[in-house]
Amino acid sequence: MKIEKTNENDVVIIKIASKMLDVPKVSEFKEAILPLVKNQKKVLFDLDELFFVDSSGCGAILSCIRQVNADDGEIKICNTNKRVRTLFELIRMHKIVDIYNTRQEALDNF
Amino acid sequence: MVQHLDLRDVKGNIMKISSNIENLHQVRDYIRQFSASLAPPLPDEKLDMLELAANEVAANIIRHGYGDDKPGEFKIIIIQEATGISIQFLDQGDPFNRENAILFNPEADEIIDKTGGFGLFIIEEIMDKVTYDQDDLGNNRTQLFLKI
Repeated sequence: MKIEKTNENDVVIIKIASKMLDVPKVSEFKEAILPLVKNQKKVLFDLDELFFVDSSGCGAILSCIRQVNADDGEIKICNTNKRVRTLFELIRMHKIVDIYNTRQEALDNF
Repeated sequence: MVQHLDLRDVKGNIMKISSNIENLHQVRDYIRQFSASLAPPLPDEKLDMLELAANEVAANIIRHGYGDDKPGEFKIIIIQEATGISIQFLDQGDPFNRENAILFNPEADEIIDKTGGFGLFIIEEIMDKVTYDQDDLGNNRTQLFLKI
């Protein structure tokens, strides 16, 4: 799974440069991402290239949110496509993490 | 009404897939190919729902019905009906007991505390009808129906 990590000001931006986050990809995702978010105070997940997420993928993202919360950090999500956004809202993920249409909008709200 | 079909009478829209989790994307591809074969194809929103629900059912069959120690295969049958799309999954893994399943409840459960269990909730939330039973040949049968 391709992950792109950048920094903008004091925000760690993690772009999931993969089309799918489903059951087969979850272990790889967690192994790659959890170390990147640990102890970070501001994290932004950019899901611009993510075409499909399933329930396991949602669980993996949740595990990252829990990690950041446990470290007293703040995490946001941006650039979800319509189907991913719909799924996040279905399981009420939008109640625990702010989801923005654009990266800049998310960065402006940290 | 969802039809209950004897596989021997069904032609065309049947996919057989081995219970390897790496094959999960084939289920989604199959749903999309089916939609593309329709005139007109399914609306994007409906296709997305079918694809996701089918993915979740297939993942459950692979992981919980079969598991790593009991590989097998299962069949997927897609049928375009008068009022919608029906998808049947037939497997010979461990049967699924819906009554014992604990569904995610977004009104009562704190999502931040959940480590899983969304799949069943998703399936039953986005499909118009979901049934779990066994067919006359002893296969576990999961049926999804979505109005179009």
